[in-house]
Amino acid sequence: MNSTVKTNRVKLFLITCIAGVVIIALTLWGRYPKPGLLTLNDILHDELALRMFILIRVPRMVAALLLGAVLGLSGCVFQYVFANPLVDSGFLGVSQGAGLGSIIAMLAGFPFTLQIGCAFAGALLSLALSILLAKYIRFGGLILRLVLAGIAVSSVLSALISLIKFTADPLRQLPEITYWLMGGLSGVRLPMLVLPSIIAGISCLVLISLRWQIGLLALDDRAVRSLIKNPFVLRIVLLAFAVAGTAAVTAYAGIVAWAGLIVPHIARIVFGAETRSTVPASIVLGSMFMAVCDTLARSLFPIELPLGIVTALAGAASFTVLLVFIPIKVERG
Amino acid sequence: MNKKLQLGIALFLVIASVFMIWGESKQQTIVLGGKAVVMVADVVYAFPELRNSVIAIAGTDQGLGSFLELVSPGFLSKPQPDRNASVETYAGYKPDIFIFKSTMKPTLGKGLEDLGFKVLYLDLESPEDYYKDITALGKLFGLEARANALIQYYKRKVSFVQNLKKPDKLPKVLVVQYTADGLMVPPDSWIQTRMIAMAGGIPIWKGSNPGSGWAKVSPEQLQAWNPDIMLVINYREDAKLAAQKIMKDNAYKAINAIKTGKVFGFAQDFYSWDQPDTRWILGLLWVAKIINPENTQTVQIREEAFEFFNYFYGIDRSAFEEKIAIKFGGSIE
Repeated sequence: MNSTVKTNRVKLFLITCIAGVVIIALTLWGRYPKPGLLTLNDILHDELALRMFILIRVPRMVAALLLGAVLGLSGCVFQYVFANPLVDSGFLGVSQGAGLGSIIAMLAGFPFTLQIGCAFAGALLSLALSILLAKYIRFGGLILRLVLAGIAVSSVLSALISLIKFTADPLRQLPEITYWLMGGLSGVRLPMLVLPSIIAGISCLVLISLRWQIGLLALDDRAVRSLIKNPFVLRIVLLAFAVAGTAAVTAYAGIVAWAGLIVPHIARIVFGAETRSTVPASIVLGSMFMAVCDTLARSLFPIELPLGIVTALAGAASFTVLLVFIPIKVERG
Repeated sequence: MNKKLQLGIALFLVIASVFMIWGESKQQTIVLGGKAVVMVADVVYAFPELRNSVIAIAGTDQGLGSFLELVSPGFLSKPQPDRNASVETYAGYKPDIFIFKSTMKPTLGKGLEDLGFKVLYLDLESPEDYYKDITALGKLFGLEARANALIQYYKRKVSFVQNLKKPDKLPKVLVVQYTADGLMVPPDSWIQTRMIAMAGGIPIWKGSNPGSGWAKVSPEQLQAWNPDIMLVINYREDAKLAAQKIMKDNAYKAINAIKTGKVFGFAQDFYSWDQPDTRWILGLLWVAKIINPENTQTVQIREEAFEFFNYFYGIDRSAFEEKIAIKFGGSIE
């Protein structure tokens, strides 16, 4: 084991420990009984504070950690698969596809488990459409064709979502759809997280176990073909598991942008481009990023801010800083 | 008076006082909030017994002043959480009951219910919703007699309008909201469409807006509809001024309603009467008078308005003239 890997393991351990402490503090942070930390005295002597902690804050924190972990990891996978630092799980219309599937399920009044199924179907369908369309585009290499196909498919799906919003019942359907599209965790309860956790857990385990091969995909095409027997199949497998995880968390959280783009960049800055560390680090950092953003969303002001807005602001600001001051380390070798 | 009788009266007074004090201390506390709180507040304040029970209420001013301060002096000094306040912010008030529009259930109500709070949801979108929601309020607070009285008032007026002799040729009526950006029509499902049909007009825009909110229409489309009567809404200033602007606009000159001078600003006081607020009944009477003037000569809108504000909010003649009639906008007589 070389010294970089050893150092990265120590770094990852330390960051995980820090994340643990930060997450506990964030779970205690809120606006009840007053803006600030919930004290032990509050929890022991105020029944409402205890209920608030157990029934509202803990489920939200679990949901945020899962969401951040999956978006961070899938973003990392997308960036290596496409050897492009400017993509995330929203690329190829995956988020929009999951969103469209979820909205259709909401309108049809399906139970939550079916909503996840519809999100997954929508995400996979958009991925398949993008890949299929890329095959017919007569311009550029595979990556460029996928980018162009992704733009077209995303636009079509976004337009369909807008059309559904336009025609939705303003009293019963529209508020739910609008709120969901902005991303948020205020409606999340623990039972809702069981199925997404299982799907996201399997997705994470598979992707972590393939972290070696993920790193190889960032090399140039000839090197990839000489090191991996069938790079196309590997790419499809990686994308399918990344999409499955994304669909599972999108079903309960709505469309939350930027986490999948910014987290892998931060992971590479801290750990380098070596994927044995970057892949698990994207999970830890993604969780922390989302925990911070959701805590800000629910406690910064008396009003609840949509999570998607907070992640967009935090993500765009961090991204700008990174682009201006720090070199990006994923590129074709 | 013999001693036994005196003792009996004294004992009765003591017991009665104890029950009164106990009853007062058991008075339930209410928080009104969420979006569209104006409608919720106006219906709750139609129950005089509930006015002092409201301990906090989200902002209710639509820009034309605070109506409920007039009904219940001191109203404005009550805590006013933001309409979009989070679960934790609302929970801090610890009332016995929260009352929201039903659209707030997924984003706000569910979280408060999980914390053990009682939440009443009101639909308040159609006459039938009003009967149902007023009944629910009366039942919840043991004020069935008042609830029945309010419902009977509504039903009496609705029945009067529906039983009016209709004009030989039903007029084509167009309801538009005036904005600096153009004119907009409401969707079919909103109360404005219902009002026109109930009052004996043809809502000419019906079927053109399948969406969930106001939709813009072009001058060309207005020309194609060629309405006999136009009712112009403006939520932020006197609707009569908006009607005058339309009359002067060359883009609309060829429309029948403009040529015959039948363009009216929708009646308003603190709020426009076209909304599903308690005032919708005044809106209905006013529309009937505009559409069907031959058969509504006995209807005096000013008197109807006084009757409404007196019956619903206990406003006497002098307060009505000084504080409400002075706010009248649109084309009221």
